[in-house]
Amino acid sequence: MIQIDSVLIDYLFIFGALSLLGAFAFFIYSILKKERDLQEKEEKTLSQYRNIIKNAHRQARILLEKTSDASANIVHDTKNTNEEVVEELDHVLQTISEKHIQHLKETTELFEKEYREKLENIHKLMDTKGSKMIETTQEDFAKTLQGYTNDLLKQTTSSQEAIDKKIKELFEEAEQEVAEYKKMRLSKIEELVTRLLRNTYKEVLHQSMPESIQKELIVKSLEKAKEEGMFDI
Amino acid sequence: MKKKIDPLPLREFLKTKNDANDFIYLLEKLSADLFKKNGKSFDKLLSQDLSYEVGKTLKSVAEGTGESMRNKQHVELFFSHLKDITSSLPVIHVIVAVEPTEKVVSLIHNWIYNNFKKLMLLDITYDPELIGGCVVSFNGKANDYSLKSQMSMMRNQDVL
Repeated sequence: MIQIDSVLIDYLFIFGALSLLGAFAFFIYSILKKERDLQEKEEKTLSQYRNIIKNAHRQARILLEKTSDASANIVHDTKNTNEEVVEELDHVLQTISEKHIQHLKETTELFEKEYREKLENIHKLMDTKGSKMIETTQEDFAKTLQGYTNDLLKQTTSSQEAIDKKIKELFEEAEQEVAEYKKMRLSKIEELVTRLLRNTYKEVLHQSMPESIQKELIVKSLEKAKEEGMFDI
Repeated sequence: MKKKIDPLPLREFLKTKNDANDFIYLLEKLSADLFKKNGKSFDKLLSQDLSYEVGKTLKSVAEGTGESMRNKQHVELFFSHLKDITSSLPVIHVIVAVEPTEKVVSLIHNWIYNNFKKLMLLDITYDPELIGGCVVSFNGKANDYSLKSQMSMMRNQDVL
């Protein structure tokens, strides 16, 4: 009984294992299939993209060619137009400048004429006024000069008086100073001479005095000292 | 000492302060010699160690004391008294205008002796600035009797 059970268990085990293996294989198969479908879908989408891009490139090229042609035409037209415009502008400018020159010429002539007239008037006026002005100026100058001369004379006189006074004061001061200086110098000279004399006769006396007189003077000095009580104890 | 020592005979060689100092030094030397071993007698000291004049004068002064100079104690006492007398002699200071030669010193010294009959010592110095005459100072008093002083006085009175 036990043996039958173990065989059964083995069969059951093998059956289970096979079932599991089958399930796993199915699972792998289904995954691979899904992936293949996905790849096919992607390739299809990619080929569609490629077609779209190819079309876009072609249309762009056509557009570019058309544009280029149009540009070339425009450039050509513009060039022609420019040349025409320049010619017209030149003509207009020439006309304007001719008119301006003419106008300027007329204006200048007019201005010159007016200027000459005014200048002549001014000249005439200046001649008249100048003569008058010179006369007036001469009169004024003579008057001013006379006044100035009078003032100067007055001032000179008063200045002269002041200067005389000052000179007199300074002279007196100088005289006084000279007198004082003279006195001082004389006093110094006198002192110097006296000192010189004194020193001279001191020297002369001392050197030329005979011994006998020296002795006599000593004795006289002692006698005088005695008279004055110098030796009293 | 029986009698006082009279120094007047010494005036011939005691004229100045320097003379007095020399004399005192001599007396000290004589006193010292007196008591040396185989010391000399008073007479021998005077005759051998001093000049004739000084020896003679000292002998005369010693005789005036009335003491015998054979006794060395008496001699020592004599020298001592003499030294005291000499050092206490009055000193007159005199400044002269000429160099104080022996003649000048003698002149002043003799004048003092002749006028006061006393032995006085001179302390003489020389100042040519005085021109003539002298300056005397004695016993705390001093006076200028020189020509310089007289001229100065005259100058102050506008005489010079």
